[in-house]
Amino acid sequence: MYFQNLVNGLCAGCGYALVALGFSLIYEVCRFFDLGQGGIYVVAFYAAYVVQEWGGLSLPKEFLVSAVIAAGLGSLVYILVYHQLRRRGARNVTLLIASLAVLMLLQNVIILVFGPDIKTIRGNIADIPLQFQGAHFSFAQLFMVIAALVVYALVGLVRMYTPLGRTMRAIGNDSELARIVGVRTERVIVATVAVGSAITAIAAIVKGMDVDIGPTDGLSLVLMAWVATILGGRGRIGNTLLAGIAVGLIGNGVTIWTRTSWQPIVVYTVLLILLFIRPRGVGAIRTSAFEDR
Amino acid sequence: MPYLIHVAIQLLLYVGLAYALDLVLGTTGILNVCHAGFYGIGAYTAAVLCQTYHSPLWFEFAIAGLVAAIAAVLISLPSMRLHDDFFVLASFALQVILSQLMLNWKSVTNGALGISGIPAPILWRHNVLGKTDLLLLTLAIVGCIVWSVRNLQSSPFGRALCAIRADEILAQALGKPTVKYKMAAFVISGSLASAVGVLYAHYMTFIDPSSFDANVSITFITLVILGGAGSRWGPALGAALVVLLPEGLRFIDIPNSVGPNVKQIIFSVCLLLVLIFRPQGLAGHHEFGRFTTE
Repeated sequence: MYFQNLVNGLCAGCGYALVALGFSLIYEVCRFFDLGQGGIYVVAFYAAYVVQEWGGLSLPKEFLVSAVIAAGLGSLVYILVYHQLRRRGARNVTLLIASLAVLMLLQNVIILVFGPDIKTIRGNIADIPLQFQGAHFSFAQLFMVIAALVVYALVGLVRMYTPLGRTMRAIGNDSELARIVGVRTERVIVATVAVGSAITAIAAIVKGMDVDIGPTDGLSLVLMAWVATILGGRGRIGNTLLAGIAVGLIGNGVTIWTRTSWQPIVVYTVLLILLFIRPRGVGAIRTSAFEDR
Repeated sequence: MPYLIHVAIQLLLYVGLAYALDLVLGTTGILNVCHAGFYGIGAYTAAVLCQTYHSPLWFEFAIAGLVAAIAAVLISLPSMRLHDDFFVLASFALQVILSQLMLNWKSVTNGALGISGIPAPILWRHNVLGKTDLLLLTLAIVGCIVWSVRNLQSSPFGRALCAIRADEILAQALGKPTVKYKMAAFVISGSLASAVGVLYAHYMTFIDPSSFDANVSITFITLVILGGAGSRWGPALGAALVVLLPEGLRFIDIPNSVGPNVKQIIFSVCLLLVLIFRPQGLAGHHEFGRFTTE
């Protein structure tokens, strides 16, 4: 019973962690929480849905199409909205409100086109039942864990060893200084937004293989990712993974004592308590991560 | 005529909510995403008190304001000390918690079905019956709210809030207790919103959680910024736009099922355009959320 909950929590947590990764990559370089990723998430899921309805594409190609669409949409939104705002000297609050507007816009466009009902992209493989030490889970859940680990490892390597990763970290550290030493910051930021959106798309499909998703699911998911990003601390990918899993475990642990519907209440109450105890984020070491800028 | 009264009451409620939110969003410059939550606290408190205990209107206002104030203090204690982003997340968390409580605390709120048959408000042992009387009552209360927010904004307290918006560190350096002031603004705004919620519950006689969820909060933010955050007539103008636009859309042929979505799309596009090209809003004077030298 407890072990089953642990397994469920781990799988759900890996789902949150995947969304949180795209989210926190963007947060690291742009310094604001891009809630519009919730909209990208839904759009990516519906792209995969359309691809599947038309048929004829294998799963890897489905991932590719959806990720490319998400990356294109994400960078388009950045260039059309956030870049314009930043160029005009907008504060963080403004960017947050704009990202909320983007979320509402994408969500409602999807409802207008596809209707408000949930859609499914679950294939036959996804439902294969598996068992480990008495805990039952589906292949889709296992896939979620594997996908999270692989994507995190890849992103970690890219951040460490490639020029893009180095410039990303440089901008995260001090964007002004990065510009002075010759980093083309805006290009790197657009590239990061594209990568982050692509990861969000992967998260959407992986999640979609496990459960059905509707157009309004973006907001609650992006909130969970926001929680994980803050608990993990800025620019610390490993901590984000752990924080995402922790959010999943807390959420599923709750179901031992009470109904599932109370899950959000407990998760957010825990978040508020954690913020009270560790205002800089639980995972953040003594960085200036959340100082005023 | 009943239709006009309906629109008028709706407009007044939105004007009250807009000015209440403007105290935090426009004057202090903090993004508050749980305005609809406070509004809901007011509505549910009024519904429960009036249905179960037949309490008078002033008592409902008092209790609703108190509950909202307690929630506001609880949420701002851990988050106001921190960077503003934390506060936004905390207010979002409060919004989700409140929405979920309305959905799940079935013994009190009746869950997703909502509470119906809320009686007319009791004013000095008399029931306020009839839409016209209710309109006058709403006009009086909302007038009080707008008047007090306007007065607060031009008081020394309000000027300190403006200073916080322009440059919080500077305000601190001038000896203003910025955290206390921000909390006070947030608590006052929440209580005022809950007062509007009381009126809403009595007017609609039916409430359910969908009227107080995060989307509604986002609508309030949109209308304040569209009109002009922190300006004299901006919130009223924004409220008028948001209430009258759907009424206008009614005359164009849009199927009922997609009406709300079309509305949301129009609002989000307008919000983005205003944020980029006219940050002071339609009627505003100061540029919202920009680094300026005020």
